[in-house]
Amino acid sequence: MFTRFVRWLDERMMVSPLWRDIADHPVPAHTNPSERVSAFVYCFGGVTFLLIIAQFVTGMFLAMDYVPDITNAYNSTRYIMDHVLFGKQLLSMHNWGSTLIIIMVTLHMLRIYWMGVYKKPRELNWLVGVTLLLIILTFGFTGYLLPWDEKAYFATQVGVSFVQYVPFIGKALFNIIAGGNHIGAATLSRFFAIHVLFLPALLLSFLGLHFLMIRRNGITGPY
Amino acid sequence: MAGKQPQKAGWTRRDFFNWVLNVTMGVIALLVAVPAVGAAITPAFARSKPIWIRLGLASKLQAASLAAGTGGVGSVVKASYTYTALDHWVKQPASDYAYLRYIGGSCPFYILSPICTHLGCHVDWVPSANQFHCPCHGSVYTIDGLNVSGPAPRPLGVFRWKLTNGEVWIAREDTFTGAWERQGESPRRPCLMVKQA
Ligand code: FES
Repeated sequence: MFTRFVRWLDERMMVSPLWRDIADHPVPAHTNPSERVSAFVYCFGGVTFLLIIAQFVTGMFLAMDYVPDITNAYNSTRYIMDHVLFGKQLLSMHNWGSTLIIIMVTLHMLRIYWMGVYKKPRELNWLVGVTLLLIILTFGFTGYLLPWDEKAYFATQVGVSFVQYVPFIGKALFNIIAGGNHIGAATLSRFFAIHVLFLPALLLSFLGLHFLMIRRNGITGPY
Repeated sequence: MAGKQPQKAGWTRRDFFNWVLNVTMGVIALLVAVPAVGAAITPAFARSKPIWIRLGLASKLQAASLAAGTGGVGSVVKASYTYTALDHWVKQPASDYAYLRYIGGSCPFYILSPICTHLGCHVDWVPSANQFHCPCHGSVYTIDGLNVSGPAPRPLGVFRWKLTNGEVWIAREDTFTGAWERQGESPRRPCLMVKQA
């Protein structure tokens, strides 16, 4: 049944080679945890990707009940926690997922660093990876404000205030990030837009580049 | 193929159409980018007027300050106020306080913003030390609001104020501290009383 479906699909758009290239190709034995348990270190990047997919899913459903407006952001967050079926679980998964992603990308980066994977010809992919790290940190920073509770408000106030110390353009930078002279209504809507529209678009593009380059360069030899 | 002319070098028709296409796409990209970037950086040019807030009866504030001090010299007191804050499209009741001191003379009140110029915590008035201490990262300000230690880069903001029918009104500016901000340490104690027209 499934084979017939795949054949039907292949006659129309030839997915098999694509699929083989993306997800069904052989990998070296030294990266296979079933051959050698210590090879689990090669999984950190993949685990990060799975977590990112989970963040996409939980985030989309959270956005159904969340309102990015300072009079209602906190109330809608409480509503998700108290009145939405499994809302608390959904929110917790998104919350814990973000923490786990930070841990996983850190481990992933350490593995890359220790094994010297950043060397030519992979230095370009290292740069893409560092960009991804910055994107993920920005995700965390913008998402932190969204519940609009006191911790979120003051953490953001402190965080955004750092840019004031940039020479000459510090004040303008602060205003652009905060949407005004203070952390307020415009900051929340800005951060929401960045968190759910700008960053996902950036993240997906850079992830695409990241994976494309892994396939181009292949996996590094045994360590 | 017999008779076929070799590709002409230089400016061909294909080059011309490519050029037209690139320029058109460039213009479209610019048309999209200008308003988009403009909308994003608007806040960098945002200017807004101060709002005037009633702080209380001058006689009461004076008495409170004198009571906090000793020997007819006023000391720092907290003066709470409420107002309607307009944050872009949101109107909300808000409250805060100012540090007020009766200093006499032609400019009898000296009113400081409690917002720490480091990262915006509310500073505490410590009467025993005659200083303001920030609970967040330990900035210290003199009674006049001059930053003397800690990470604070500037003195505390000073409110412009006016006297109307025996009541003190302060001007809340749209600045980091909500008050007028000194860049350096002088004038040490600016008089910011606004004379009535
Ligand atoms: S906010 Fe006052 S010292 Fe940092």
